[in-house]
Amino acid sequence: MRRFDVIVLTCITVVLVAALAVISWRTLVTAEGILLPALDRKAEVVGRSLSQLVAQADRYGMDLENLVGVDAVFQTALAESSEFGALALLDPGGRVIALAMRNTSAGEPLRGLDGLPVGMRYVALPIASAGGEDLGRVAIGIPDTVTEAFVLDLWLDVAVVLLVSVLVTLELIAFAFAMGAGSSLRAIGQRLDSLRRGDLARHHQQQPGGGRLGEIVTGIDRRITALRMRQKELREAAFERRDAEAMVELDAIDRKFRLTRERVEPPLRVFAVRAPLFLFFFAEEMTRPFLPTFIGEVASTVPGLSREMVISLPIVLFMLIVAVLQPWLNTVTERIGRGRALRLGATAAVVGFVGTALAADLWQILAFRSLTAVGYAAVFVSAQGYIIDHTGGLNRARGLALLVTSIMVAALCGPLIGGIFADRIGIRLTFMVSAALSLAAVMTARLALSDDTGKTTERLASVSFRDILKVVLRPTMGLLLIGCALPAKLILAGLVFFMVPLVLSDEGFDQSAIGRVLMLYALAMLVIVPFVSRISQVQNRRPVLVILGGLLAASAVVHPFLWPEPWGAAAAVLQLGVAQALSITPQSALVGDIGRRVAPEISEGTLYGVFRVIERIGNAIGPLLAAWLLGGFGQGMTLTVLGAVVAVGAVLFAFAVLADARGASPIAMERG
Amino acid sequence: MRRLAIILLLTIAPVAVGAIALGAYLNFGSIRIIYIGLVHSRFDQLANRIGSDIEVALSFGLPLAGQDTLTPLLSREQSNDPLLNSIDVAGADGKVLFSSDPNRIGTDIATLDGTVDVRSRIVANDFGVPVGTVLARGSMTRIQRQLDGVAETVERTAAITGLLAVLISAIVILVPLRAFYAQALGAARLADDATESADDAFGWAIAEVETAHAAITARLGDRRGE
Repeated sequence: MRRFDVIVLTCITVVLVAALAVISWRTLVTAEGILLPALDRKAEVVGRSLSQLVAQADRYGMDLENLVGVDAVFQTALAESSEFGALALLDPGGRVIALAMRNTSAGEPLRGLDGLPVGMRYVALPIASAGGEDLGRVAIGIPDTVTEAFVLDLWLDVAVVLLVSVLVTLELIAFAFAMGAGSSLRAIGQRLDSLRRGDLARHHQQQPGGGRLGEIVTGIDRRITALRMRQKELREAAFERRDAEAMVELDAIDRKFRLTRERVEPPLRVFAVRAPLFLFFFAEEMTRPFLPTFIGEVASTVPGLSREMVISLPIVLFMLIVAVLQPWLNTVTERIGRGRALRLGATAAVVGFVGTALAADLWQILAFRSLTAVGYAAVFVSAQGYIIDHTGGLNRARGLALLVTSIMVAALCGPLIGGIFADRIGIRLTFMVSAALSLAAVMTARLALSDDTGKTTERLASVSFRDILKVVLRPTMGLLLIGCALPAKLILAGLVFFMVPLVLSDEGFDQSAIGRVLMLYALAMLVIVPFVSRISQVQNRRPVLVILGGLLAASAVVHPFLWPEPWGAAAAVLQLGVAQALSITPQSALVGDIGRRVAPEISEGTLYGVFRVIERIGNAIGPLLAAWLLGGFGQGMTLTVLGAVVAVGAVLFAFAVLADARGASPIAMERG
Repeated sequence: MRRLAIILLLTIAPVAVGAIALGAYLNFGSIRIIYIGLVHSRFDQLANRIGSDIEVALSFGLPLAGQDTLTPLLSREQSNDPLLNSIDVAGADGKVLFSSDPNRIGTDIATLDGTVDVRSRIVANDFGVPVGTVLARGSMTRIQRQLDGVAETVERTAAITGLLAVLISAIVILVPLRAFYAQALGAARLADDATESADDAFGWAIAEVETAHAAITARLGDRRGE
């Protein structure tokens, strides 16, 4: 099965790369036919201005050779026209009197025998005195590589399109193989892959499609089950007969072929939820680069609130609605059916996106973003509930990892494409594209989750305010949640979702550039989280990873002070992604570890419910705090405070962990 | 298999076509932005230069309405640029005082014209008080005509590559899918309790376990006999 995925993806990638390369090449070749003449004309206009300036100096009796400050004037003119590589003043004999050059990445350009920089073609404008005498020429140098320089940004955008297309194709292949005959084919493929490796561990109970393929899956499973049962019988018989040699042989067979092992895999039907989930979150993530800017453009001022506070209101309200609704929605989605609830949520979001696209003032934005938030919460809870309903025990973690991966891939692709669309077709139309994607999520959910019965195998615990207090008042647990989990989401929402897009937009960066900066967070998460998930299996590493992640996240705010934008923001976002990738999995595991010791009377479901609510509260507080600080005290103070909040929380949790290590707290850290 | 193939084609082919269409749009869009940027830039330069000349004259005490030499200057500059409809100089009241197009004199610059792309520069006296505006008025039709050739090339190339991409995607999906499906049907023998051989790529493990089990069963049976 994996081979099929690899073959199809590789071929589609090659096809797309080839197609996009051909289009770019043809466009560039044709475009040179209009761009180069346009450059020449611009050079003529600039040259005429400068030659008139020099001619004027001549009318005042100044000799060309003795003109002062020509280099500076030419340097200023060069700075205003980034397409030109050099500006020169030549005497009637062609000798260079004054020269301004633009340095390349390789340093100062080489000069030819005529004294002019090489690698350029020149447009020359004559300088004539009042009496018509030839005084010389102004020469404007246009680099040979000017058209390539023009399209560098374009190639970045095309690379983004390619990356997003490949990731979307991957999701759609998974979607196609999650239904009907596709799921049976996938099931057979998984079994064949295992048999080729000699891995006879039991596959998770599948529900293959009907027909010949379904029979084959059932038949293979039956045969392997027979082998496993025979292994068990023989082991028992060998034990009864005290045949050590037989037992050794049987153990060797078990080690080689994993006959007594269980495979921890989510059932295939869980994959069915990935495509609608991915499409929906893609739709929402597309809005990240430009949402603050859009709100700022549409919303009028509100007395008593700074511009930044006004901009933060829809974002904060969105996060609050999601935080408040999630615990309650679990029961609702259970009652009406996960698939139906997901479709309803995505439909609500369609209306929300369309309304936002058409919004004319702050109140309309608030209303429609609230509707989108309701949809967002419903989709997330439905998808999570669907996975929990169809998994159990060991494979639940794998199932939920699918959900997280889908969201992270959407977080990688969404801002990239959203920024490009916003620059090319405008922000309002981009909201409409989000609406279309959300509608696609409804349709794929209809196809993929159609056998939703509304029955669940396990009830997720709802969370009350009393539960929250009960949990956070346990010192170490409280420090983990309030000191680490809440600040993590606070700085994510405040810095990445609110401050970075707003500040970069105010500084003149386009939405494509902002999208490229924002995607660095998801990129870091996608690359590092799988690795950290493995190393955080060892329990005593978890507190260290959480504290390290917290301190690394806190120090990420230093970068905007050190580097010019957008590099400062990019470095901060990337470091934050790395830091949270280090801490997210161990932090989640620690909730259970610490909870079991300090609050054994509270169910794990409630503990994790409280954990999620605290995180969502952090999501809501982040933009509010960032907006208040930005409006009142500026960027520097905002970054400092955000970093300090995270750092203090991590340090306090570190003290709690140290106190525990000295035995002063009821928690015992397990070793290895 | 047919249904799966159709689903795969219906989901993946639009992604490929969409990516190519978006890539083509980005290519054309970028060239359009660059070209129009260049055109605007030279219009701005022109307006700045004329505006500077006017301000120099103003500083010598010559009022804007009295700068009659502007008319030949504007005509000369407009004739140098085929994309320009006209270059106007308007007074503080927004009425055109001088223009390369005599028909425009006396008109209001605030009147909107969707076929014209205007770049302007405020002219101010030595006290910084605006006294007029220089407007370089470009023809959007002519500007667009320059871009039409590029648009046509991009559309044609995108259409051809899009079609090829769909065809190749279909082959890329169908060929391995057929092989995968055939392999899956071939796996039926694994379900049918057939005897596997040790060099069977998929059945070797089953064969080896069954052989080992048979040997151990026989030995345990012998021991029972003992």
